[in-house]
Amino acid sequence: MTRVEPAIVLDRVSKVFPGATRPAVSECSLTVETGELVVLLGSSGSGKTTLLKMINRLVEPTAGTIYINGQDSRSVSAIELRRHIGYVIQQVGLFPHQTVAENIATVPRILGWDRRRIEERVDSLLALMQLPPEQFRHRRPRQLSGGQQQRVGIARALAADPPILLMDEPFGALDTITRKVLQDELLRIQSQVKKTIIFVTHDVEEALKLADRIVVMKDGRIEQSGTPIELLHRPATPFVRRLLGADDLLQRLSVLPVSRVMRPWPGATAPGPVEVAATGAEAATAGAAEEAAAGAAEALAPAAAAGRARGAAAGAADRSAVVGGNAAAGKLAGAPPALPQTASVRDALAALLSGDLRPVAVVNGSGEPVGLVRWEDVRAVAGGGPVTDEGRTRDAP
Amino acid sequence: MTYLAENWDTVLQLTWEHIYLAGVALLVSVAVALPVGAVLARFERLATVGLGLLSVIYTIPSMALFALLIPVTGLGFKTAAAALVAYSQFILVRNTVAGLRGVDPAILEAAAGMGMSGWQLFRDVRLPLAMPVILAGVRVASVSIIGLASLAAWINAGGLGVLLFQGLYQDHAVKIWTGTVLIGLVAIGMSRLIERLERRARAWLDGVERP
Repeated sequence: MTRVEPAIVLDRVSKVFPGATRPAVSECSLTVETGELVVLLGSSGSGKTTLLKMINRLVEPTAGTIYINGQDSRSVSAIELRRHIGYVIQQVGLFPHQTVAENIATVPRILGWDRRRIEERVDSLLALMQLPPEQFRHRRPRQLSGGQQQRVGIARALAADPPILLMDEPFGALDTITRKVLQDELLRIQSQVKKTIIFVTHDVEEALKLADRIVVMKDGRIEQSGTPIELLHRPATPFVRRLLGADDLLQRLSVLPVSRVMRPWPGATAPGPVEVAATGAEAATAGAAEEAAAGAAEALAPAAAAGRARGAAAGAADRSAVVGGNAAAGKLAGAPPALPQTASVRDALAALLSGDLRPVAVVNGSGEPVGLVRWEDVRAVAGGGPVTDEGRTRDAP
Repeated sequence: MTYLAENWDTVLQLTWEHIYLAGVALLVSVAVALPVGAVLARFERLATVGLGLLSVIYTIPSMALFALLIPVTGLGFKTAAAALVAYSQFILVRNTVAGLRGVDPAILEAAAGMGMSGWQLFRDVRLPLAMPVILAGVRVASVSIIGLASLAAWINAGGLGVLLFQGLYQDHAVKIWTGTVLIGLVAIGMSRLIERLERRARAWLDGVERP
């Protein structure tokens, strides 16, 4: 089988800024496969942003080589390189004197695409980012909310369809709710476009949520690189253990997908509680995020929002909707809503606890039940039973 | 008071000369100041030196500046224009540098990260966003040019200053008044015009309807 070239290879890359006492980045080596979402995680001063910027040569390495799709990144001009790498920054940096459409069209215009192609591309990207084109094409950045601006920022980065996307703490300037929403958006988009993404953050939860692989950095060096599960269950250094809360059981459970513990759905004629749980499906279809009243300004989501409440992780607070729906069916009151497929084992634990440990159904994107979670199975995993490292699945099959 | 009635054609001629001189000086000033400002905005240390030099020229009394230039450019229009251009560089360059430096660095970083060349970045992003501040400088410079152009009469460059000087020598109050008022009106008119441009630029940058 022919080996596919990794998207990005960093070979002992270092950066020393003039006049600095220690290197900002010190002998970092890293391989990123195509389609991976790699998170560079560390506090400020760890070198994560500098490392990111060396990939698109906004910062030039003082030592080492960076290969992009097998080619030395210095073999083309920096400007040419950047036109084929998407770049999203925390402050977004949209051009205030241009419309949303013009902003998004920046790189395609530089590359000389014809007008028709650009217009279609802009519209399809706006749709992808859930900003209806007719409404948003002609708006100006100052008329957009922070979350909308960053959506446009991401669209702009994706405009020329670059294989690689660099994101430097893109959601750091947003409020918590919007941040969660956009994190979910990113996962959704990634499942559709499968870009190679390097994502810089200092937020551990964000890293655990988004990453295929996390690269923990400290003082310019890579402490450990691995999947969230690897890092949590086998931290290489005390720093990594402390940083990720590897000693925190709930934290570990939060990165295990519920598919890891669920049993297959028994079939259409399942008894009582399970059926009741299944009718809660509509309420949970919307998706993993806790969306609360995120604000119309976010222009989110398809009309299926009607049933959208919160994921099971939100806690027992609002089962009344589900109960109300079930009342007509005359079933048991107080059953927990079903879990979406994208939920974690920790979400399952919460659902089990709120439902008095009765089994909870797991549904797919269309609301059909695909599995069942039982207390016994969660307890087994939580008790430190063997965890196989199959990696995380986030795509809805 | 009959002076005006009998000599309105002369007055008009002088007014036109004044506007023409000021206009040419302003255009040349801006054409020089923009590239100079662009270069200085790029190199921090050059900027301090450059602006320092221009501020020295600014402090030279205008008549002295004329006197210095006469051996080089003779008497008349060219000398007056040259002096006015030199004089207004300080304001224009300073505002150009401030405007260019004042553009949000995040925008510039995003633009660079997308692969814009240096020139594209300057022309399509940095310069447009610096316009309001640059135009404010142009407005101030235009008023001071119009005022200073009054002295051009002293070196045979014509303009409304002629009325002022004649009025002084001849003890003719009406001439002085006429000259003064007209210079004031031209200055106000020019200032208002550029202010309009300034507002348009700001509105265009923000994407709102013109106020």
